[in-house]
Amino acid sequence: MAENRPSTKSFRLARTSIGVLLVAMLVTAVAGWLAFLISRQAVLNSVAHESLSLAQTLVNNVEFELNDSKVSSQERTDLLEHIAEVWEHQERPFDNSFVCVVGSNGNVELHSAKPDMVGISVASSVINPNAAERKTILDLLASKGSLAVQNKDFFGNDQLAGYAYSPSMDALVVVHVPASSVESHFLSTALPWVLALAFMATLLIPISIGLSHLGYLSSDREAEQARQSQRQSDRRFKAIFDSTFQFIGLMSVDGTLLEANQTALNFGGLKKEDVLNKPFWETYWWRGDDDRVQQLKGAIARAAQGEFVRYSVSVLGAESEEIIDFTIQPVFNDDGKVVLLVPEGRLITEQRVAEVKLAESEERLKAVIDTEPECVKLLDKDGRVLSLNPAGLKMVEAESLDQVLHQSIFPVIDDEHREAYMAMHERVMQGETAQLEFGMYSLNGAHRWMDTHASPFRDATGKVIGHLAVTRDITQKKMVEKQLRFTQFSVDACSSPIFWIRQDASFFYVNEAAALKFGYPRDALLSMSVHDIDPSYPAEVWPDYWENMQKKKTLNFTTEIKCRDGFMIPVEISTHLLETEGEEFVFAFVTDIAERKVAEDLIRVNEARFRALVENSYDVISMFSTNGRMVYTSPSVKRVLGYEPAQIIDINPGAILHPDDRESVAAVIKQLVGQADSISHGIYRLRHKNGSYRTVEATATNLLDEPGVNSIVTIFRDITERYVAEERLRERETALAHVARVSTMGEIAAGIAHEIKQPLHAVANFATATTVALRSAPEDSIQNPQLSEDLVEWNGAIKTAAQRATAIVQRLRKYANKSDQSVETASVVTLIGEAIDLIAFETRRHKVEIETDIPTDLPDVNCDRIQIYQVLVNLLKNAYEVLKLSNSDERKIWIRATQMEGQIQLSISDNGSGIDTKKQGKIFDAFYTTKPNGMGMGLAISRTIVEDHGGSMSVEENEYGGATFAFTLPVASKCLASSQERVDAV
Amino acid sequence: MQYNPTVYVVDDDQGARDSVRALVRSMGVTSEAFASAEEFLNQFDASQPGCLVTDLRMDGMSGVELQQKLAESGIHLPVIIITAHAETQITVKAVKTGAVTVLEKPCREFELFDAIRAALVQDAKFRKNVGAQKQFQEKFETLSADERKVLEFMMEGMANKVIARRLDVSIRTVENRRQRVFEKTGTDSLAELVRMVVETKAVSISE
Repeated sequence: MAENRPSTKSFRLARTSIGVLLVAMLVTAVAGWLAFLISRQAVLNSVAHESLSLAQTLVNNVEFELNDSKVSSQERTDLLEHIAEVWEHQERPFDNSFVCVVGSNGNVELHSAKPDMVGISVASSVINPNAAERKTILDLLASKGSLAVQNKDFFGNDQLAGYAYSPSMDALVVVHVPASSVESHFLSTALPWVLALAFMATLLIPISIGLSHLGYLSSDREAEQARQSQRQSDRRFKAIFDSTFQFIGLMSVDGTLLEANQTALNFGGLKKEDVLNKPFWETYWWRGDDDRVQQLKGAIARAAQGEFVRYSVSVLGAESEEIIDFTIQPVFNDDGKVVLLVPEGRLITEQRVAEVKLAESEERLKAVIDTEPECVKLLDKDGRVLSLNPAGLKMVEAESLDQVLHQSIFPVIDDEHREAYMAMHERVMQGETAQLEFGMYSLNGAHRWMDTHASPFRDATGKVIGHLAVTRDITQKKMVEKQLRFTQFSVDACSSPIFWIRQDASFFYVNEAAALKFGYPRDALLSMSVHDIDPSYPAEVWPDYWENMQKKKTLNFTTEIKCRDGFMIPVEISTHLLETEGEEFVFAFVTDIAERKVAEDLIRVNEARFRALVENSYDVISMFSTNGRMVYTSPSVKRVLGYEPAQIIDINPGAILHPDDRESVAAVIKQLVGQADSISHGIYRLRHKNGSYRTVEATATNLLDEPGVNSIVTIFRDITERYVAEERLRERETALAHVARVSTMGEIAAGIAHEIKQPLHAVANFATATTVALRSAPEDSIQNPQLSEDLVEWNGAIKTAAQRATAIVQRLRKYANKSDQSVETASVVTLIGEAIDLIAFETRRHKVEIETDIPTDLPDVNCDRIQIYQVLVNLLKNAYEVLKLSNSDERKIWIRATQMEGQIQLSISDNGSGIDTKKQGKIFDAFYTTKPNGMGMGLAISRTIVEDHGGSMSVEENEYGGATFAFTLPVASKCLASSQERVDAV
Repeated sequence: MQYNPTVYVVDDDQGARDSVRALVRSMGVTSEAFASAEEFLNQFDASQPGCLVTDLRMDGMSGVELQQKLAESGIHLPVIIITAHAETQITVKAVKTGAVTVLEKPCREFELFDAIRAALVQDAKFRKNVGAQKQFQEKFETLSADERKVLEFMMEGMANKVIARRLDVSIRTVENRRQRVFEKTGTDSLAELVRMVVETKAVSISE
């Protein structure tokens, strides 16, 4: 203890000077008293903290038992017993100390000293009466905090207490040490010694002075006794200090270390002399780290101001640096002034150390990797990026760490290497180091080559927790290697001989082609020189050539090279001088002129062949540029159009195109130009030089992108004769269709005749009525308003009836008309309506009901109206003729129209007897009929008409048991195409 | 009795219907039009005098079927059937069942006019005759069996003497009975008596 030191000193002083001794005695007494007070306080403090440690130990015990889970009431009881038991066997510095457990409601749950305290609430007990901000038990519970304090117990006795919070029990474990027992202990050890000191100082010192004259022995003996007693008390008191497992010291306010416990000294491998009376920050523990020293100085300064300072810091031990939970507790005197500082250090649990170390190591790693020019990254076990240095960010072209952090690295590895990379990662996570070259994609999609050196990243316990990799971008290197390989390969594989020649005319390198071409083995060639294979460059002229080469750098010339078999091959040689690393080489590229001559001849022959093909073609082959200008045409154009190729090239193609075709050709060109390799067929009319029009069938292909062609190539053929023949055939077909119509008309004429009688009958009756009315009326009755009203009405009715008759006649006439073969836009609804009207009488007569289902938004179709009219009438007629024979009362025809992909499908269904499936195939054949008086042409003609329109016709059985005839027509927007298809179909 | 007839027009064609009605109107006669035979049968009043003008071909019941239906029902209404096809078979069938006229569409001038007029005349006459015959029938019923026997022989043109011998009575008795027949039937001459009997078919009914 500190107070024995000055007294020892004074004791020594007393032996030399009584005067000084007396002064010293006084000083000693005062100092001793002060020291007593201070040390008492320090002891109390340390005991309080020790209590906390004990409480904490108990809590840890419990927490350990519990594995962090919350407890049931049974477990709680067990735990309380467990605490009591542990406490029982706990080595305790003071006999009267006890432990109690206070539950979350503030009730005492366990009291090792006074079991009758159990159940009593101490919730509102203030636990830190000396502090500015007072806390009750409940406050502490609520804050889940731990605390070491001097306070009063439940009964008002001073005590030292350590409160430790147990999360799993949600309770405070409190270790109490009655202040009295500490003080009695303290007094029983330190106070007698102090009193003895005072007594010795006042009484024994003069005696000892006297005795000193007699000899040292007795005084020495007494001194020895005093020392022994002092040592004894010292030891006992030290036991308090030294028995704790934490570091405790004592400092003056200016930071001079006055005392340190054995634990602290042992940790540093120090002796007291090494550290005492030195500024704390100059002691061994703090050495080697300026920051640490500055931090400590600051802390001491703050503590000197009365602040309790606490932080984690690493301190130097004899064997290792350790992290401690470091506190400086100011000690106040009665005036509230800081008089001493108590530094304490508690070794933080190992796990915490590991964590801190890891953090430190991460910190260090970060510092290293941030400045590392190569990519340094740390991956977790799943390959996610934990850390990446700036160089690495640059490599993956990331703008910030956030873009890559916690992202898996694997997706950016290219497919070829991903598996290898993952395997390597696995190996690293197993603790191996590895190296791999791999390809990856940067965030911007650029492919890069990387060379990575990976090693396991371990935590303090040696467990592999990551994959640390240093990666270098070797893209450039790879590229160069690749280029080099390419270059070498091209040189090796080049079909022309290549030589690298040294200044002495020997060959540094020859490629395979050189060996092959001239018949020498490659090795043999390499041991030869220019003189051996080119007689025109003997050793005598070689220096001149070289000199010339040096001057010009590049020389091209022709010469002859001697083959192994003695033949001389004419060649053209292109030579270049290359100077590298002080040495000069000539690169010689040899071209066999003989071969080239043959190749040139071949090309000429081929060209002539193609030219002959084009120029003698029967078809006209022309090339057009995108703006429609003809850039080439074959001579056959003269045969077709009468112009010489040279003449027609200057003519705008539009000028010789038939005016009716211009629009469609323009559309075709637009479509062609829009798509490479597209092909268009068509039939157009071109004006012959003599003014007549020729019909040509043209095929145009977009070869604008074809190198060497770069144009629209058109091949057309004069099909005027064929076309005329086809036209004639068409006319015949049209005529046949007309005949069929007229024939049909005969069949439906009876119905029409009846129908027309209806209005005529009305006309006759109205006329008679008019006559009768006029005749029977008196002379002046023309003025009769009733009569004239009747007459007007009847006249109107006559007109209506006459119109009706006219309409019927027209309808019939229309049907009988010859088709002019013109294609026009027609409404499907109108067409169907007209057809129904035409056969209305017959359907009425046979009680056939017609139901139509035609969408109102149906587009128009392109067709020859009369012909489609004919098809519809024909199909309707067929339907009602079948129904006529039906026994069913319900005779029905359904007409439906549907739109589908540029076409309109019209279907006519009946619920008649249907068509024998065996006959379905034949039904469209000409002269095939199932009707007794049928000609067998109706369906054949209908199908021809539909197919001429670019549609198709089919028949099938329907759900009503009858037949459904369906045919399609192209919608109007495809005007050009349909007319074109029609021509093609013909 | 005032004769106030109605011409019934049955045709499924509006124009035809209107034209016939116009014609009837010009004659100053009332008309009623129907779009089908069924409609007509449902609505017309058999006690009303008049005639029927019907189209032959119609949706539903045809003109001939309608006429047959009327005849079967004992309704005496003169019928004019107009057809677009004056097919012999139909004509014969129609006439057989008692139709007055079959006309072909379109009718010649006044053909339909005449036909309607004739039908109405016939109807009027018929309705008048029906009254006289009814009276005669009642009177006829008052004749005794002996008197009817005498009437029968009279109608066969037998002389009184022959009748007396046939009946084995005296000539005087025959003369008396003959006198009573004339008195009871209200007829003045043998010719009138014979006509009335034939018209009412009284003799056959009595048998």
